[in-house]
Amino acid sequence: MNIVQTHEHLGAHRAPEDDAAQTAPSPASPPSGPAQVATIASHTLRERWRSLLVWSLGLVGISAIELAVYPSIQATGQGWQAMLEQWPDALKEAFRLDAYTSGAGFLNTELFSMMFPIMLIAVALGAAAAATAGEEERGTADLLLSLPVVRGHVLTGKAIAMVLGVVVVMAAGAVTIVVGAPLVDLDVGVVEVVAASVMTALLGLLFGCVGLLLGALTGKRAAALGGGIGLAIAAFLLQVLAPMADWLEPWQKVSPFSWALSADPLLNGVDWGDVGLLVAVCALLLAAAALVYHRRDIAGR
Amino acid sequence: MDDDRTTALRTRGLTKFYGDQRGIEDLDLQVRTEEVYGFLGPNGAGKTTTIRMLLGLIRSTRGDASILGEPLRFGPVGVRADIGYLPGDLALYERMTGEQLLAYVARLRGGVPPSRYRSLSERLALDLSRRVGDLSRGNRQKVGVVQAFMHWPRLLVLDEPTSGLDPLVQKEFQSLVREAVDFGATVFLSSHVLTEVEQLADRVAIVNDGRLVVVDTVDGLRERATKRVELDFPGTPPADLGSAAGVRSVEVRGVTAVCTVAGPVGSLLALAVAHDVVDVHTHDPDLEDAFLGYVAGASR
Repeated sequence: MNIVQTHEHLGAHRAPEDDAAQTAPSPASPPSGPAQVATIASHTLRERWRSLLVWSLGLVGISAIELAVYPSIQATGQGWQAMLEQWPDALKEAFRLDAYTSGAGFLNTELFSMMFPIMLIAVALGAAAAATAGEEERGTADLLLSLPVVRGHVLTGKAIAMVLGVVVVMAAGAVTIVVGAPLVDLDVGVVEVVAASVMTALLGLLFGCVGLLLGALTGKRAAALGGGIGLAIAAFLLQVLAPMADWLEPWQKVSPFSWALSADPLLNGVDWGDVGLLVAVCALLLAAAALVYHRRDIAGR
Repeated sequence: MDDDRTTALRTRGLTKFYGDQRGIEDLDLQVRTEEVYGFLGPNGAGKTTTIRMLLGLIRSTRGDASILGEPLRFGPVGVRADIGYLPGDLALYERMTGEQLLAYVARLRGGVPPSRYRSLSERLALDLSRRVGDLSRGNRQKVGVVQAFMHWPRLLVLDEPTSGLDPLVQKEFQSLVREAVDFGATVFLSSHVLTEVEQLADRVAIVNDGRLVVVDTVDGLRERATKRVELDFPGTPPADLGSAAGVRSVEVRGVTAVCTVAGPVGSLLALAVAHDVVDVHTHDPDLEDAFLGYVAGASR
């Protein structure tokens, strides 16, 4: 410690041991945009790794439990199928019950029609709310945005971190299924599991992008989370209820759940048209978020 | 422009309204290169609003500004690479250690070797291995000081920089500011207490309630400042002390008259001597009083 020493070297005098102060280079030009984006994304992932770990373990656990009960479902297959035949057609369609006792049909009903989408939407929305709105509410946005960083790059870094987080959590579930399925004689193709996982991840990301837009617009975590959850619930209800009411049926196509799940990727593989639609809407939402964030007055604390 | 080299920061009619609430209105400032410029005003006067506009965090309602010769534009990177900013209400990433946080800021800025922020931290006696969330308020403020100084900025914008710093560290902070100026930096220093900036600043601007009240040198403020003179008399103090030149007020406490005086005290002393004054106590000009006088005068 050299506090006392440096007091004796005020003004033009410099403490001789302070090498860095002796040569004051003119400030370096800031790193390239992509390099800054990567820095922000990796910093964001480091701040959120605990949450991502917990969600990943959650998907692994739920997948393992479902796989574990599959043999008993299959053993009583005829009975199950007969019982499910009694269900209304609309419900059968909503939860993909028609092929319940086949391996892929079972996974489709138990995991990919509701459980995984909800969990992935939660992961994406958590990341979205913590992104620009989180920095603003905690007050760290003042420091971050005072650096030579373009706001659009901040948002891009946060979005990349969100995508990587969703991919990691979804992959944890997918890998559990691919590894575990042969152990319980569950017949499902690796390609189809990947396809369904991609669609589910994209569905989560779409609502995450809604959250990013709302967060950029309001600077409030609650608005990003609440708005995103509200829209997701509305979209889910539309997907589930539309087959039950004639007047509602045409509107099902508006629901992102329908874009992601109606083509049954776990049975039929990837529908590239649906992928394109989901990606395009995500891109539009992100562009809108960047535009809004660029013009926003950052709230002081 | 010719004056770009001598003017580090200039605002013209810079104004910010939040709805119909005034943040700052019609602010005209000119800060010279290599000057330490104090920006004073009570809390809520509009200092932080002004600074956050200069950093591009919020947009001006009207007016403009130029920083280091470049027009203030909202959003783009612009001159932020050349600015070191210490936010007034500093918030940091609580889960990171000081080292991690400074490394993150350094990576986003570019060109800051770890040895630079480590040596600055050492001077401020800041332990970089601890999590920011576990640090005291003063130590967090040190992290803020280090990140503002570490890239050798040409302009330092410091909002209430010494809040929470103990006196020894404040001394070290002052020597950091002086060194930066020696290396050609300009310093814009906001505070709500004059004593915090009077040892550093060449000139000060005082704002109150969203308006610029006065710009003056610290010496000028000192000249205009009132000083306190206490006079002890053998009996009841004479009633005509207030008539002496420069006397602003007289308060009688028993046999003692407490006078506030602007300018020379000769006239008052002559009168006191004529009344057989027993003892005289004078107090140095109190800049805080001068500052408060400006603020009070402006709000009347």
